[in-house]
Amino acid sequence: MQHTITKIFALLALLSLTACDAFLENELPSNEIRIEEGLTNEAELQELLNSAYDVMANSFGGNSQKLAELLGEDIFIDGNPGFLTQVYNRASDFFNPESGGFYRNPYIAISRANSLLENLERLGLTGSEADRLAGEAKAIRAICHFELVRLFAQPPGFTPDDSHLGIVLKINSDPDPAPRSTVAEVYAQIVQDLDEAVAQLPADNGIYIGKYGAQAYLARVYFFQNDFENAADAAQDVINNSGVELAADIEGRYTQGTPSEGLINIISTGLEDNRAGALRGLFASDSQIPFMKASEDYVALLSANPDDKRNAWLTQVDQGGTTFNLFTKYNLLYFSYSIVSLTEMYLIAAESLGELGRDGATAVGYINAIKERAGIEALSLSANNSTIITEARLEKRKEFGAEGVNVFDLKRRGAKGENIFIRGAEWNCNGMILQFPASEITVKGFELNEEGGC
Amino acid sequence: SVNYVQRLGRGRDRTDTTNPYNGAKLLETITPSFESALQGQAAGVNVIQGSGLAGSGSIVRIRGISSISATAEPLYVIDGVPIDVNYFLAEANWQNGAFNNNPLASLNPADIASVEILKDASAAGIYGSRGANGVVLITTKRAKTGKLSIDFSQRFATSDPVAKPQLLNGQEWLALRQEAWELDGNVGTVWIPNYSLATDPEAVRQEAFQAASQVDTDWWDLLTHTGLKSETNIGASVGNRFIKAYLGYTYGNSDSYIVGNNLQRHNARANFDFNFSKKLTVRLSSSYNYGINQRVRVSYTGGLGDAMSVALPIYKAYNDDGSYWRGFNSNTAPNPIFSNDNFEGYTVDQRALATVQAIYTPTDRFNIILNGGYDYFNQNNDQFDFLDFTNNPVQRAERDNRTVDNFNVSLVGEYSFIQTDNQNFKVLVGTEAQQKVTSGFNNRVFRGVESTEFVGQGDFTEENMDNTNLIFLDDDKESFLSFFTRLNYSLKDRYFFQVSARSDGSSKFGANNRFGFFPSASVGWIMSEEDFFNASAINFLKFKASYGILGNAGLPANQWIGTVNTNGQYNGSAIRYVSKIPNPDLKWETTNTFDIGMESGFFDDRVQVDLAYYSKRTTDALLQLTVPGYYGFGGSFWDNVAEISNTGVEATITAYPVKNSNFSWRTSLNGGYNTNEIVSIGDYTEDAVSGGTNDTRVVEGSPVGTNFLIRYGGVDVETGRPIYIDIDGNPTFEYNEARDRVPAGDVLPDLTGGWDNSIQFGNFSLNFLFIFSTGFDIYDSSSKRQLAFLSDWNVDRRIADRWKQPGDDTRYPKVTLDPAEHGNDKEWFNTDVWLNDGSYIRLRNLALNFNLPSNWVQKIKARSAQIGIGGTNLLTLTRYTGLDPEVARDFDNTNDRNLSPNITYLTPPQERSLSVSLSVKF
Repeated sequence: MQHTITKIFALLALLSLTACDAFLENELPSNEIRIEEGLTNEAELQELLNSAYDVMANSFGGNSQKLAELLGEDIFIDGNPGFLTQVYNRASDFFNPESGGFYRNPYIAISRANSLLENLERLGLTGSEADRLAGEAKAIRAICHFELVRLFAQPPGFTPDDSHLGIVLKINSDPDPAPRSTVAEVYAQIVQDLDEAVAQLPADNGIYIGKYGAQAYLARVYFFQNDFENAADAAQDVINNSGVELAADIEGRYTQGTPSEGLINIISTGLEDNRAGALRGLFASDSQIPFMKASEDYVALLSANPDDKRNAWLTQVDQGGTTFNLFTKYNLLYFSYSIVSLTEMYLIAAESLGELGRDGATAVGYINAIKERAGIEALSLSANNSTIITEARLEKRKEFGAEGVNVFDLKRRGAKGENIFIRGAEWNCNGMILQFPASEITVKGFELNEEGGC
Repeated sequence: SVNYVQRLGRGRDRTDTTNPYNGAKLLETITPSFESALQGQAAGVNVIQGSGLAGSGSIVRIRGISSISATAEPLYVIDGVPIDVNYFLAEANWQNGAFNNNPLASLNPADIASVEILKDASAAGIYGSRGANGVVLITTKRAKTGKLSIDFSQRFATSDPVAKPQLLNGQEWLALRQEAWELDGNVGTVWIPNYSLATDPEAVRQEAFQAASQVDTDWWDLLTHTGLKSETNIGASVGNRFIKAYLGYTYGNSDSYIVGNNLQRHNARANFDFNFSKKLTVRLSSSYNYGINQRVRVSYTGGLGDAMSVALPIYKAYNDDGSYWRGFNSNTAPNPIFSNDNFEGYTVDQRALATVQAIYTPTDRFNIILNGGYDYFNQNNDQFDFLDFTNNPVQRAERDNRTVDNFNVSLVGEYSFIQTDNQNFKVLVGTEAQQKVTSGFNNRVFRGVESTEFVGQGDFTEENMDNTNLIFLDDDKESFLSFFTRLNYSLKDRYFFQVSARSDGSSKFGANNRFGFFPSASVGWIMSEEDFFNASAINFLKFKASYGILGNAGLPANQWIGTVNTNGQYNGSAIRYVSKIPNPDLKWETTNTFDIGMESGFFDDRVQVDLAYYSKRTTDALLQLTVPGYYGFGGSFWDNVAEISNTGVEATITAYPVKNSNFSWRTSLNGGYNTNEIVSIGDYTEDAVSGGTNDTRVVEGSPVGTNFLIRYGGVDVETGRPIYIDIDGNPTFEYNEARDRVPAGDVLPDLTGGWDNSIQFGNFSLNFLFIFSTGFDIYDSSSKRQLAFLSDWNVDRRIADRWKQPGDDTRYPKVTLDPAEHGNDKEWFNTDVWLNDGSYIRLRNLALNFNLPSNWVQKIKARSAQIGIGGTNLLTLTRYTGLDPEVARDFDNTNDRNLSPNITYLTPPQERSLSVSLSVKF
């Protein structure tokens, strides 16, 4: 008997030992692939790139714009808006889920871009397709760093040598703690990435970022640094060579389908794939009194000229004896949007030329293209530089209401030395930049922004 | 009647610490789910019962908590086979209206014959790593040999909330708002949300105020009612020498007190025992459960949550023409009646459990037991929206699905090498394997559908399906494999020794760390058996001690593997991205546990006293870390980081003050005291793991479940502003969370227990159970918005104790509409003023039963019949001034569940229930 038992257990033990490693080694679910097997060729890297666009699409379809608008002077809020009020009151803190929720996403896109660049190198891929992938990855990395640094750090010019703290610069995909880089370092990397993207990208890249998309973004970055020479060059390169034309009507940047004058577009394909849901939810006025309303200031700017077609971007709704001024730009159930457009290039080029004091007629031409489209009186070709600058700024503010643009122009002008106050607060007070989320201090050693004081 | 006298499961030869329960006892309590009936019954078993939602789950913690992010749930074993218990199977808690899926709701209390709880290393040793948090052994009912017998029982019960929130009425709310407006330095009439704006002219504001004054809606009353419950059980058993069969069926239909919330369940069971020969017995157990939970939105998702917050008493449910009221100057005012009418949600569970146990006993010294089990769980979470907030038809339906297939098999052989009167030596060897496969899909959307529910057929066709965001979750597998042995030696029926060792392997860890070695050793000594022992009053005295190492692999599958995921798309093109970064070093969370105990019986067991002490030290505790955003990945990151200690004592005293055939009284008091500390969290900070919405943190030197808050220094008598205490202990008006948070409270109780009584007098029996819990704080997270700052929330009546004018020394500061007046920039402050002592004593259960005299019973040809009345939560003694001192709120994840019980955020209070019942045995 005992013999039999010994045999049974010996057999059992043998069976188990051989089976056990295989038993504990499971296949992954079909939508998951081991890292080392998941990024092995150009086609897979293309999908990795698509995933970076996917994150960008969700980050810049309202989440960045709302934070920028809340810090600016073109919108007005009331009621019980929760954490958005904190931003509006220039008092975001590290628990603010609006700023914190936005903050994480661009870094996810950056990490995917970094992973793409690392894998291109690891696989030794070269040639025009590899260049295109790398160019798009660098452009995405630059765009995301830029969107973060201009919301979470003071602008270039806040300190003479831009030695003030920026954000963490992430140029590899390693999950390691890192300190914040200076603003100078962050902008240097952004410009370098965009320069390389311009060199590597084809002029026509379908709906994805092409050479002129990167160049247009570079114009925006130079302009924000008050580097008018480079801004004018980049913007004019786009205007003259991109082949993109100014949209014939004012609706060119928000459409179902591909925005016609967009230089970098984000595409929504349907109701369940609306990448602009946050814009619609916060601003749309076709079915609700939205949370974000137009400020009296902004309404006055547009309504001063009743002929201005852009008055159609505003509507008045009366309810319970109160009149609300609301935006209509985003009154579409779903839509695609552009994150940088030809209109912006025209106005950056015009203002930069005005600042540089050259090519006045060209600058006026740019401004007039926008004015004519809006159906308002053109500027005289002999307008002086100061008029060019003022008019370019005004047209830009009118054009980009509720698009998260104006506040950065105000900060840029503040950094340039102008006396700028935004809703009563100095352009560079602590609360004019957002606080980093609590996630950043989970590892010891991260420096938060100063709070309070405006 | 139930014989409580028996030392149920307390085998003399055992060296472990267990707690037996009797199934009949569990049935007596009206509970949302079986596990809540464990409360107060055993020392060291802390149960926090769920909310008033139908089918709500409880939190069961055995001997404190040794985990932060890994599961701290005990292992539930039914008829020898562990079942899958996952509270976070559904996609997200908010999608289900803040209702947490309760995996134990599918267990039928009427099926349970007995429950036993294993608490220490030597007891849990046999269930290995999965038993690190204790083991709940459930045995279902089986037939005995004999002719056909049928049990029938029927019960009806009510459901009402244990408390109603004390909020202001319309007039009071308006007056308070006006007070705040004036204290803020404004003149004229205050503006009112959804009536007027701060920027409106005085005349408009005045008109709005007048209109609002006409309204006084009690939203709580509109959204609650007395819910009715019914439960029908029928069981039949029959058997002979060769085959025995038990068949059971239960139908339950329970409304909660929340209008629209209902749980229906059907449970069927068939258990068979085959005695093929004296050497071979086969036991088959099978059950099937079908549950339909009609959900409502609560807490922060609306419904009853709105009734306690943003549905103001000055809002109306309907306009005069019968349409929904949506505001005086807006069309977006909260109206929970409107949102409830335009929402339906269903959670439909199907669970089947089949186990087979073959016991082969070739000789009286040797037996082999083969156990096999298949546990199937399928859940659909459906929701349907008719209208959006502006009365536009949406008619969008969405289904998420989960299916879990859980297979278990074990083979155990035990041989007695020595079997004499004086000595016993047994060796057990076994192996066990488990594989669990989870699959399902998220976001199956249907648009333009007319039908109101998935449960019926509806018109959910391919044509109206929108699969843009459909994600399939395919075959997420985890497996477990174990080899174990146990040696038992006893000498003279008074010295007992047990040694066990296990090697457990889990697919959740990488190749190098896959197997953990978990040994344990224990000794027992029945001193009362010794010849020298002659204390006649003491009939039984036993000492025992054990030491062992246990492991916990309670984390999701495949976290150590770096993965690329392909869910989603952009512009119609496929995407892929790194979803997890690899951590090849991920390993078992291990707990070293030491336990000593004493069991004693006095006066022929008329008084029994059990005592125990334990000390547990957990190392490599698994944390699901919040990593810096700049790491750039959206998923979670698991690592072995923390060290946690638990120490505790337990005592149970059971006595039979009266013990006659006609009158007997059993009374039993138990208590468990636990202290708990996070010893280390490595290089991380308090914010690396958070439970709930900033409610608790992991703080070195503080317990698991620590509130990390700014201290409140009272009210400035001159200005009425709140005073905060800064990090250095100095008062300040400035509210700065980044700088001034400190460990301020502890939400897990130190001492819990129960006092259980059974009195039999003739044909009557009276049972009642008091439970108690003390040494913990309740963080009343919603009161931060119901007191002090006036937003668009309703206000708690405790606001009466507020500053109104210079010289007032009050608990709450002046009311204001401007956060700056509270030194803040948001609509509340998180301070320890919202922490409350949660200690309570509660009459959990009261039951009076009457056994019908046998001559009556015989007339209907029954063997026995009983009628009864009962109640749960009839009385609560507490100093807590909020709703309910026992809170298991909605949780988002395991961190939350482990760290943040007893935190309330518009959580529906528990229910109070009254019942009548009839049971007949034929």
